[in-house]
Amino acid sequence: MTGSNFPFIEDSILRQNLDESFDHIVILLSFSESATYNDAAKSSFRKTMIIYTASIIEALLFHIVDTELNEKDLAVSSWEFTNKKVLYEVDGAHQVVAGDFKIKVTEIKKDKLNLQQICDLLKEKNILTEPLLGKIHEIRELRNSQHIGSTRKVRAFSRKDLENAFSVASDVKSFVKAKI
Amino acid sequence: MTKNRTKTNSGQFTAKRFDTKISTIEKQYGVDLGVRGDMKLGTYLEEKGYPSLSKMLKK
Repeated sequence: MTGSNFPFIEDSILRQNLDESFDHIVILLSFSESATYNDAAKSSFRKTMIIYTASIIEALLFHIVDTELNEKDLAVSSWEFTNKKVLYEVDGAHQVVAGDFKIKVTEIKKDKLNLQQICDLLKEKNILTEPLLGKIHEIRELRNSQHIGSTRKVRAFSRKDLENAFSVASDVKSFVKAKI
Repeated sequence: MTKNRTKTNSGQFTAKRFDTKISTIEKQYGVDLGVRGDMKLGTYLEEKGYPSLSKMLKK
């Protein structure tokens, strides 16, 4: 790899994946700024760029999780109810019961983490704080607009949306660079 | 619209830089960006309203 835009990432595969995603953003940006394409096409290019930008943000933050946290840090505790015994049936929709109510510790696999979980973990460990955390969630929600099934309007993606995503990615890049 | 990613003669991927010329991008991807070909990519992005993307390009 020559001239990486992420030279502080030592993992060569991650670095190349980041560079190729970043390069693809620059390619799509040239299309979105060219007179060859209409507004609908430009909006679609911007939507793809936002998805790619969010994937760069996610990968950079995951890199911190991967290098700074161990498996114990990734375990989550939750209450679990087992061995249910019905003591009294009030009616078909109401029972009085007894049973075991215990804390259960579950390990989370690193490679299954999504951006929300990565942010939650880094927040819990006081690694990631506001205002950057809030900005990342804004981009996560912007990226989630790719799920068009439940969307109630046709959304157009503007230059402002895109620059906002780039701004957060730039902040995350500086944050991760300073952390490692 | 689809063009190969930038590769060196040895097939290695080369990342875009702040000083990549606009003419290089126009030629690679068959687009007309409406500015002088010798303008640097980083400068172009700043002028188009993408200062953060420009900042992410290594100088």
